[in-house]
Amino acid sequence: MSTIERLLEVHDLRTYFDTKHGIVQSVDGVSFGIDKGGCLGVVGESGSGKSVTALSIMRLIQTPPGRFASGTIRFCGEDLLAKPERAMRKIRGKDISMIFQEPMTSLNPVFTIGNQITEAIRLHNDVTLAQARQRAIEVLDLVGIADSGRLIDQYPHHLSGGMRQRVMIAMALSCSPKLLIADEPTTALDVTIQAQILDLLRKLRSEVDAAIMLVTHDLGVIAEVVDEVLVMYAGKVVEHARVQTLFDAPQHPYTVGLIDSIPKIDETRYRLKTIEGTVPNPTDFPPGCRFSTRCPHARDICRGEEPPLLKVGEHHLAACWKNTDFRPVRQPEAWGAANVS
Amino acid sequence: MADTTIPQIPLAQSQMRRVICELISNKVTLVGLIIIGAMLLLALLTPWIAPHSPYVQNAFNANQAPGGTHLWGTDHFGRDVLSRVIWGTRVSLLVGIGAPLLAGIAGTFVGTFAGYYGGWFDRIVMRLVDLLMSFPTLLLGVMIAAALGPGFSNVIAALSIALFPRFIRLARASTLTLCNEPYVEAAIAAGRSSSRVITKHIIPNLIGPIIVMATLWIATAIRLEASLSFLGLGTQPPSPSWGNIIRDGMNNILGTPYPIIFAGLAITVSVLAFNMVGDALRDALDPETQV
Amino acid sequence: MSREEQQSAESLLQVRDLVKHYPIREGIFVPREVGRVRAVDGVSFNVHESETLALVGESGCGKSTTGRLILRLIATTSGQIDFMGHDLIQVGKRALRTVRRDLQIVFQDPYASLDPRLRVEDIIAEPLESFGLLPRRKERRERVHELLHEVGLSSYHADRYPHQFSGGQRQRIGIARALAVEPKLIVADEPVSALDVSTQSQIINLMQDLQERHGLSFLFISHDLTVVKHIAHRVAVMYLGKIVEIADKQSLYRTPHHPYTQALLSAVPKPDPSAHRQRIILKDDVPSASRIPTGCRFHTRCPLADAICREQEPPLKEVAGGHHAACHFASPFPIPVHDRPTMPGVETSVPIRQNIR
Repeated sequence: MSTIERLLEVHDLRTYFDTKHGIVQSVDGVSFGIDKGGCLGVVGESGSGKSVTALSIMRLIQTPPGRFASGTIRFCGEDLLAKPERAMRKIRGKDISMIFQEPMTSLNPVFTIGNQITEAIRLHNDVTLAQARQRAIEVLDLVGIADSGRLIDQYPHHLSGGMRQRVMIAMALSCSPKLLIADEPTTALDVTIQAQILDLLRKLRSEVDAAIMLVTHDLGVIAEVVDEVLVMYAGKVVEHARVQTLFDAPQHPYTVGLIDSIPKIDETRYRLKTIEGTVPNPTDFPPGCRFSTRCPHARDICRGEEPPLLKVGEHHLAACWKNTDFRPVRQPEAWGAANVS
Repeated sequence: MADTTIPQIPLAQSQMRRVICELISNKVTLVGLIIIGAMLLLALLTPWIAPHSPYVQNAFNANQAPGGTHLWGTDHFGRDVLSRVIWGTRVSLLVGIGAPLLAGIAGTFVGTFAGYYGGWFDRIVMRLVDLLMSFPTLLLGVMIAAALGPGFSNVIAALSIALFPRFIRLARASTLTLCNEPYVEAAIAAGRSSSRVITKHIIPNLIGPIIVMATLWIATAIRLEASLSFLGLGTQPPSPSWGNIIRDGMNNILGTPYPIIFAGLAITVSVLAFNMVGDALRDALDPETQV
Repeated sequence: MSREEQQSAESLLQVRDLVKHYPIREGIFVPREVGRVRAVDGVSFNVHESETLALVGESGCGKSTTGRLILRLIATTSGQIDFMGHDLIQVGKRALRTVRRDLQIVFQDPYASLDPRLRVEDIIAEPLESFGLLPRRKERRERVHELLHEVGLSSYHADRYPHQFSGGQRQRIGIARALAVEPKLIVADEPVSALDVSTQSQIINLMQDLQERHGLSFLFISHDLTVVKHIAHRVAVMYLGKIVEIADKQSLYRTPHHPYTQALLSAVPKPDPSAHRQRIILKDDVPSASRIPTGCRFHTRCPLADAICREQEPPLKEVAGGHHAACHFASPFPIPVHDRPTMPGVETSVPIRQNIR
């Protein structure tokens, strides 16, 4: 299979921010791809660069202070980073759409739900108001809103948080996007509502053609929805694997630590395992492996040289010197290279 | 153990130091600061700097254009315009800084207490504030100055009272927000008495916005003082202030325009300087930008 | 009754029928009450010595309000709070301050709960100073250093400002402040929910260590059932201002009796892709606390709701030893998962895609 068939191909993306305290390397050499209809989870803690990666794909990074220091984002074969802003506006909301964390603030309080969805539809499609309204009711039905014909004329403040997030998802799906980016879609919601939305996301995977990129800090959410996971730490991809592989046999010490440190509901341990220390300051990352300051296995090579993302198993990449017995290697196999073979 | 897992954190610069660094790192602000500094020097050292007396009249020398012994020319009484403007700096700065300072201090206290304790005191204070703020500041200043009668200290009093409600409102609003901050709750849970909570947590945290507002109001107060003096309600002739220099000049605008031009320039430059510094202070003191 | 009395003898904190209503007023000149937000609507529980009681619930269930009522940060509408023999509601201003020494709080947001203009030393020393303990500055400084070490920070951090620390470190500072006066009970209001996963576990471990070392009691307020499972000894589940189930941790997690607890437990995402999921999905959202449903307040969302639930409010009754639940149909057997209310047949239709090679 060639790379051309992939829906999205991000290669060596570097998104930097120039601040008065120095350059913040929010995303630093990230590569991955998503197939048509695929579902990729991006997981990481705050400051890992997961949201900036998502915003970079949408080109929603404010420049300056942000800038794309290098890399390509190929979407349907075209490089998004090379496109003028006007062309991006046609893609945003139509081919790639995004849902955000805050369902409370993402809807404009002075317009009805229907107004906001039909406006999004008519912005990208040449349809009449009646057709747009019909489509709006369709997508509201799709996201499990029972009384869509009535709800369409209501204002956002009439809706609860969970309903608003459904409306946001409906709006994102209204133009039949090829890629849906969901940035922490359930973080602001309560557990029982989160369960509803996760259920919806899983249902949508089988009913909608869109590929999904789910950005979250919650490994539980990852495990429930996606089939492929990208683990990010301090602006780098540290591990990339199928979801089952990642939870069964994580290879990077950070992933291991992360999985171990979450309290689990069906298991009782007295003490939780922890990852010592804190995430390094983004203006001042340590040399070599960025996890080396907190890693229990760190050796000299880790503190001096950056580990490449290497194939460690089938459909499994990890960036750790442990996998080469702490010996430097010549040819780093990137995800793309592994994919071509 | 602790030292290995926790990265070294450098000592923070003190708040004051950081704000000053930020202010002088911007060229426009630096210019504003230099202008204000120069004005302060002029006001302090007036008798030694002013080349002539601001009062001595000389009919033979009236209505002179700038140049010669009178750098900025003379007015229709033959008084040196430069000296009069320099003497006027004193009045303008005293009123300009004094009125917002008094209003700021009093307003902070009243506003903080009203916001923190609420109840009937709050309700009465706020209705009075609403009443006072329904008049434009200049009109209020004119009314109070007219009631108190002209004179330098009365101008300060009038302007302080005119600005007072604005500071009460800002201090009260900030207090209400701060009262909901968890660190204020933490202090109460830590057994702090109300008065200590106010002096230790609330006032230090609302002083930033108050200073910014005071700086911006200095510019307005300078303008207002000039307006009051122009209307004859402020500093009384022959004492010079920028406002009454313009007023005098108006009567003799066909004789010589220079008193108006230079006094007007002094007002413009000083108002600009305080506005620039005020804006920069607002940015520097904004906690959002503190890293 | 005698058992009850014996229990209260050893319990540090006793809360009885705690109520907090916020009146909704309308009218410009003569505001009149048009309704009430029943934030906390009759809550009773005990916290024993060296015990962690967790208050769990979704947003708006009144758990944080309950914590603030106990600390008397807000005024109570009615009820009784008995702390170490003092009635916290009746106690006067002066006596309240002495009681507060034994009753401290740790907040959710480590960014907002530390005064940005104070140094860490001043923050931690604040309770010492206000209670007049260790009047000499040097002694206070030593105590602050001791506390910093205790929470896993270093002495040199005393001169830094809060904005220089990460979230986890700030929460350690918040804990050190609460510990300064050696309290008996700490109300911890969502202390880890603002933190990253890897720091969250550090703080949970720290709290457990401190409890062991000092015999502290915690009232641990949280929405996160997995965290609660780790730290609590007993758990009280709140829904719309009331406790619907309270039990030992083991009992509650193994055999939840209330349908809400059952749904809540089943809704927690499991970090294991192969886990078998029997999820009870509740319909709709939590109703507003200003319009609490009649009868059982959960009946609008409950899959088991019947006529009786709409009319009669179920009392909190003992269903097993020390295990109380407020449901007419309380049973240890989970609700059968059949048709989902809004989206049937989802679980089965997820195809695994082959897109990694």
